[in-house]
Amino acid sequence: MAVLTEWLCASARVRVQGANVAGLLNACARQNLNFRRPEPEDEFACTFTLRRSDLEKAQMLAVRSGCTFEVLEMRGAPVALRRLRKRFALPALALLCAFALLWSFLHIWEIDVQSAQRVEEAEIRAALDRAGVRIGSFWPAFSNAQIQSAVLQELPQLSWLAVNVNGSHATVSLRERVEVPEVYDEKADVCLTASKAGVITELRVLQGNAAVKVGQTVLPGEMLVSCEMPSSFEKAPTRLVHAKAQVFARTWYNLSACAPLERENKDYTGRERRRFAFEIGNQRINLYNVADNSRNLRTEYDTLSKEYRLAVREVFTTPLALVVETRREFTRNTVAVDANAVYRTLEAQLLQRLQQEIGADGTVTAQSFSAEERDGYLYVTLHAECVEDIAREELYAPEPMPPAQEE
Amino acid sequence: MARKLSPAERASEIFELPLESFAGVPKLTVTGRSYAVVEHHKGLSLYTKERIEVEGSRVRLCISGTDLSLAAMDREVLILRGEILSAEFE
Repeated sequence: MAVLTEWLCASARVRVQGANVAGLLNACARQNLNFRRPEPEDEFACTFTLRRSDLEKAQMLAVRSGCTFEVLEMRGAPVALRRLRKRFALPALALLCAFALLWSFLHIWEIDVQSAQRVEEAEIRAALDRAGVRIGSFWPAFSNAQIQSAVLQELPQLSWLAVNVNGSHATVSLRERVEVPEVYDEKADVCLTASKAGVITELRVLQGNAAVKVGQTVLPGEMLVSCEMPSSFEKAPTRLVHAKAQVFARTWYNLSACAPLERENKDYTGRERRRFAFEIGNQRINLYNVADNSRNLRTEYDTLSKEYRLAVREVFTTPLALVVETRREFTRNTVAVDANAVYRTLEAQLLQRLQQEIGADGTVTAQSFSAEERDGYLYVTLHAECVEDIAREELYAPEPMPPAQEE
Repeated sequence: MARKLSPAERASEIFELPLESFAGVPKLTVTGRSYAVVEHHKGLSLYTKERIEVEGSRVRLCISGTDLSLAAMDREVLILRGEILSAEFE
């Protein structure tokens, strides 16, 4: 704190020399002259710091004490400002820098978009660009409502969007629209048809008119339970209901999957090259020969890019950034893969697929696998016999009435 | 033989009050080996890095050491820093 005060108020480092240096210090203390950091050189000389305003008084006291008084250095902000008075370029440059910072502060130089599941980030960025939110745009002119309406109109998958700007850094927060679930209409006239081909093993009809029998073979789309309920009374019209039933059938599956028996590996040669580029807003200045990108057939590169932006995190961001690209050289090598491991993986994948096909109610009654190697690939086929519910709801569509024949 | 007390010392004993409030003698407080405060001083008589002499009303306080310096000084109080080796009254 004392150092800061000393810097803010102009101060002077003085050197006194004489027979009575201690006497001068006593006199200064008596006169309430706040001298600091007195450093004795020997018995007859001492240097200390004084406020500029006390300089004249101290000089008078030194004369009275018979000491010589010499100002070694003037320090502090007022002195520095006085020195700068004649140097126009420096304050002008400082002013220019301040304006550049202010200008930079009022523009967007970084945009972070919150990720969404159903919309690609590139799509969101493109929509934001069309709405005026882009690198270099003037953020005080942003209207969240306008941006929101423009982007949401373009991307109906989103339900809400907001652009928060923090020191030239825009963060786009968004919410995705929740899909409206399909309403299950219990009163609709619905028939049950077969979703797969199979042989009926069990029929549990809760509502509706069974159109098949146990042991019967059905094809996909064939009617299982009709929603038309004929009345037991003569001349009474047919009643339509929402058919409900569980129709279990034996079904058969042949599912196949394949995977390569060779894999490409990257062998890093250990050679690394670095290259640099500058980014000013959207402009990139490469500090390397772009034609150097050509590569020979055997060697390839992994490129890791790192951006160092001239910014103070959470305070301000500038359009200037240094991009450092590290290129790691590698060669590709083909390595044989363990066929048993591939077989086990494919087996697991096929069983998972089968479980998805038959659903939670279905059971696998018999299964077998066959495998075959062909053209560097391993083909695995699953043959399975299952029992599952094959009933599928279908809206009732009455058959069109034949046109009446005129007599 | 017991030392004869000064009137100020006698008064401070009778009224059970600190001696410096009567006699105006310097009061030295040393903290560790590097910090000393002298109250009720009458000014410096010598100021070097190795030795600082402080005037009291009837005594002179001599502080010896290395790299001694004045941290602050006003009419009443004087603060010293440095490596203090000894303090003597003359």
